Amino acid sequence: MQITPRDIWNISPHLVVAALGLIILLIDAIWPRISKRQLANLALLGLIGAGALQARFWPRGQVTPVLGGMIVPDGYTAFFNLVLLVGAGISLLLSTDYLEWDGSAHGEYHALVLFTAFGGMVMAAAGHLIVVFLGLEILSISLYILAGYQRERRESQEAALKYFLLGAFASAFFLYGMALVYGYAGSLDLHAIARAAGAGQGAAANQLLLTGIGLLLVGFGFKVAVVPFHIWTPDVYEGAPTSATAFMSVVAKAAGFAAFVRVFALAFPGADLRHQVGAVVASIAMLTMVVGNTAAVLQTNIKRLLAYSSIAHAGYILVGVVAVLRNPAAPAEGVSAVLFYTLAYTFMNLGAFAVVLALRRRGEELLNIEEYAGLGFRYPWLGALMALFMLSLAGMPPTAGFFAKLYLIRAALSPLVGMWWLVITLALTSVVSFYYYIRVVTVMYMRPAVEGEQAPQASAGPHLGTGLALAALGTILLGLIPAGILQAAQQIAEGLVELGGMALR
Amino acid sequence: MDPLNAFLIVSAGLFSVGVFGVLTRRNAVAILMSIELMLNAANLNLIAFARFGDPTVLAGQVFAIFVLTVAAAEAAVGLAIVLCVYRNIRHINVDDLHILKW
Amino acid sequence: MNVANLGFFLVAGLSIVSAGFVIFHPNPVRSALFLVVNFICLAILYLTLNAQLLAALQVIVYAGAIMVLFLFVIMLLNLGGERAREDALAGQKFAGGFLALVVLGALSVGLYQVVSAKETRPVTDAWRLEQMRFQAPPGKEGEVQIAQIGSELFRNYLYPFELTSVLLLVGLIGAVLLAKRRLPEQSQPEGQRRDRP
Repeated sequence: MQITPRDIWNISPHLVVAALGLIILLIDAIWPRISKRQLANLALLGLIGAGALQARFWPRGQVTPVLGGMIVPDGYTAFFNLVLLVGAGISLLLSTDYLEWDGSAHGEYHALVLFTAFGGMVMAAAGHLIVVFLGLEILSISLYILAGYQRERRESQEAALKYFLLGAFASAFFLYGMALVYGYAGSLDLHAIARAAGAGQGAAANQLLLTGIGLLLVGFGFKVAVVPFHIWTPDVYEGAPTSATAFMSVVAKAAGFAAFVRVFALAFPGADLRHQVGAVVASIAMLTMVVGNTAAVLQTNIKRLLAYSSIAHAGYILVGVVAVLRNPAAPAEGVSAVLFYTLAYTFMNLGAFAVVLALRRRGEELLNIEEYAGLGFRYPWLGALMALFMLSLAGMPPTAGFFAKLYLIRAALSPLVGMWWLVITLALTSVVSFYYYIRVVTVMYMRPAVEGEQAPQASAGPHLGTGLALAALGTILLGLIPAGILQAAQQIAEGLVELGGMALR
Repeated sequence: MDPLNAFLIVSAGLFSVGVFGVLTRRNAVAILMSIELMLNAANLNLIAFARFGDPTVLAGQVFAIFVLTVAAAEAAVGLAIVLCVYRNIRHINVDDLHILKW
Repeated sequence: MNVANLGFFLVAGLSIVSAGFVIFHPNPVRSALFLVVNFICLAILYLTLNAQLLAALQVIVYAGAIMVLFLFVIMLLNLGGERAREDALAGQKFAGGFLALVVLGALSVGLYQVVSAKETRPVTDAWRLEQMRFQAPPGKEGEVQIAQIGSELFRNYLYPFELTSVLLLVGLIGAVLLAKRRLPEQSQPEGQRRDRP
């Protein structure tokens, strides 16, 4: 394999992000006294640069893989990479105030955020399972460290330990699944796997493939937090530093689903196989929606509430994955719904965390939902934004969350999918979700505020304010003019499907 | 008995032993060791498939090298986390971590 | 059963038994030593699979570097045996055993029949000593296996190879960040988090 300048150009966004991480580490090491805000600004500048390089591939990109089939610089990659860059950028904006207040602002935090984003981008772009695995590990290991970033807080350490042990456990499953798929196909290149799986090799070999796919499912399921691989989520979300929680809730999910959908949409053609896998994914989706939403009702801590809500949203996105797998006529519809949902989720979830990050009470974080009483009047802007994000997460029109759900339902309703009960579960659990999202809003607006020493404080510096504004802007714009993004998502999805067709030729 | 089969069965056995260890041990370091067992089982699989598949392609062995690297990075970070937890809590029994509900 | 077959079953059996000791022995130091035995058994199996480089790496990296790290941490924390907590244990053992059996069953079913579909060779074939020589694939005589792996690694798998460098860097940052005793103090603005135990 020859590496041409063209290859380098194709992966330039990855290189920029990784180099940026290194540069920040170096600057922090050479000038330890440098303001961490400056480092964050530098990181943001670099992320914008990487985004500009990536936007070149929007929305069609180039479908021929580069670097020996390792990386596919298509529109799908561009979309998810942009989502990850936006997620990382807003997360960085949200983290500076929090880290200064917490007394743990070190340059390593920014570098780790960038490396996590890098791992996620690699996962989204991967055309080879070994690249998926390495990207997954870069992402995961950075996130374990970020979870345990507050070295003197017990909760943070516990969260890191739990996340690490369960994450490494899941990685081992993923790896074993990869080994089995390798045994089946003789290669880990997604196209080669697709060719082998498309050719069919008899019932016995099929069993090997199915076992491998099952184990891959465990690995992906853990990363995106679906039931029954979700047990780590509430604890880790609660224990990790809040800014890191915000980051991992969107980036791990986007990257996980990016690789999940690409691998399952590309590598395993064959209607029968997809039908079977689709049925398994559908049952996981149903379980995830039900468990996530019911458990969220019981939560009193806002971080745990958002953890269960993130599980529920993973369940919704899985509905889109089912539509991809079970609708051979128009898989693009499911893919585009997943794309749109991931983007919408990134904005609204980061927004909700931004509000949480802005609130304090007596030198502590304000995490108990009951303590949000009267916030809507005390801080009208913050209250209104929180209400916006909560309603969007619940799926109220005309916010981003509403259209995201609508497209998912539309994709899953196709008669070819044949999963009307899944759509009904989605609708019913969404109704349940209204209860706990609206409860936050009612506490803010319907309860009398506490005054004096106990009163909650809000502080939003320029960074956090900008992040909050960006998240709100995204949530509103995706709700008001969803058509543009949806059209692009559709084109991107068609590109991916075309790629799948190419693989078989 | 077919040789590939024999190796795959050994690997499946090692993997299951590792799973059992992760689920029953309470010492974080012991759990990490069980995970290493699982990774090694996957490696054995990769190498066996590489040997009995197309012998001109060494991809399986190359993957095994990557897995080795990943295992090293994971072990380093995992043990650092264990060390940090121990410094804060003075033990590393996962059953006794109660601040957050397990 | 001939000598070669016996050899395979001995090493494979030893690897499983030592793995069993790793997870059942209450003392972490002993567990770690049994893990070394397991790794060495695997290295021998790799040799029979004509993977000499991997066998060497298994001993050097795994049994050497990684296990030293484990032992170092175990000694540093002075970990004794686990204090058995009988109440939670019985149910957990049962559930764990059940799940492990399910995994074993699923994997065996998934794997076992594959092979019958492909050509069959006796175990002895893999175990024959002449297989342990450096074997260049046809058409590439004169190029030993390690060179071949190297060229694979730096040609087709160059990008993943570069990714591992980022992975190791992240591991490095994590180890330093988490295990270092004290980080340099920052000058803090007013109004920071109050209570720290």
